[in-house]
Amino acid sequence: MKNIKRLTLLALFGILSFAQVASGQTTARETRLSAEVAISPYAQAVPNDSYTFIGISHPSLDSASSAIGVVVEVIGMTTTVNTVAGRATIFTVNAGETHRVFVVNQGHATINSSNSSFTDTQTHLIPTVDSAQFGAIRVTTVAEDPNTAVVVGTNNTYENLAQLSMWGVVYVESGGTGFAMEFVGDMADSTIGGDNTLGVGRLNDENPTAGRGIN
Amino acid sequence: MKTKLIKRFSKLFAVLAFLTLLAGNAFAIENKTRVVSPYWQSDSGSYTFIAVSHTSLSGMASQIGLTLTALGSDNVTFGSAVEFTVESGNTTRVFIVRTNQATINPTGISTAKFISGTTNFTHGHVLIAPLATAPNTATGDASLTGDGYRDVTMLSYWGSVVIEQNTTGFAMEFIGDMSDSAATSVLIGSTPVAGPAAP
Repeated sequence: MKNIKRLTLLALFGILSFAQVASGQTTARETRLSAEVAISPYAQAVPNDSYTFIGISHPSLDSASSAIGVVVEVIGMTTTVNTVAGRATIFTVNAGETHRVFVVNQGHATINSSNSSFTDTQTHLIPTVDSAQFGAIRVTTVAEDPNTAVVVGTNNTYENLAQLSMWGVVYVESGGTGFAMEFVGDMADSTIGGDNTLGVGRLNDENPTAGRGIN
Repeated sequence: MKTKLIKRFSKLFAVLAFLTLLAGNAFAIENKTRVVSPYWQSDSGSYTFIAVSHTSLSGMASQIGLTLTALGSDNVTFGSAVEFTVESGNTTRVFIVRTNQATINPTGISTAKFISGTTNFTHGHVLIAPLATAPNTATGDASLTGDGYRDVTMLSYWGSVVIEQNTTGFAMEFIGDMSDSAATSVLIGSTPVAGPAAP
């Protein structure tokens, strides 16, 4: 009898703690923190005319975690599944990998999920409805605290976007031409950070800081 | 007997785990001496072109050696990495292209460097590393011409993904090269600061 009571009590505690965890998961993460976001000012997908291509690579910097999770989201565009989840693709870029993201209209003849050239684990599609769409791109880290270092060996490593490099084009299909995209907040915008009062030479014996990508 | 086996298995597991951790960091590159480009591609209708220039700025060694690697999306090297030295005032061209390209090949363009591989669509990113073991240490006597740092971040890079059908393409981005050079708020005269932003 005592055992049953104890078991019931234990089960109640279990349910209580599970409920707390579950309620925590229902709260969406903040995606506007500048330290966790990179943006591209313009993207478009126009049926029979153009689409947007993005390449995201992990060059294995000393200061990078070996796996960095990212969320790529289109802003201001109507997607096939026009929800928060439908407007985004979530994936992990492992050290040395390059991932491709296509923002393309859902009825595109070749760039679609039925074409095996676009179904590998390093290719991601964000399909938009079959009308002209334009907007911006927001890239967010999956890590909740990407600017806190994880020490690997003697190095501080980070899961932030300063460790990833991004490149992209708005591709106009008829002419095989297009326009390079701009990414703000990725590795290209990294800064050396930290205490630089002793000059650049000081960095030789200092662990890279969170904001430091390649620079 | 059983205990021995369990012990051996545990040791084996520990060794394997250690090796896995080591392997995970095998490709880590030093931030301050490298240049990267986020994207290249090559297939039956496109190739990638990169130009590396030595602008002879003060502080640059007269010869700067580098290794350029085209890493595929799956972390496997495309073709073979090229190693070369760029001399003061010179520009070296590098093509990342399929092996059987009719005109863009080592016979047709003998002065260029080639990373050649499969005709299948391949893409990835570019890693550029110094050949010098101590690129932040100046060579020779500072009073002599040609003395300076053998630092690949002091070189300037430009490139494009070329679509052959229309002879059009897309400019590449290089991160960590001369155009990203920066100076800190307080400087010590003896420390290296790369690029034209150097005071």
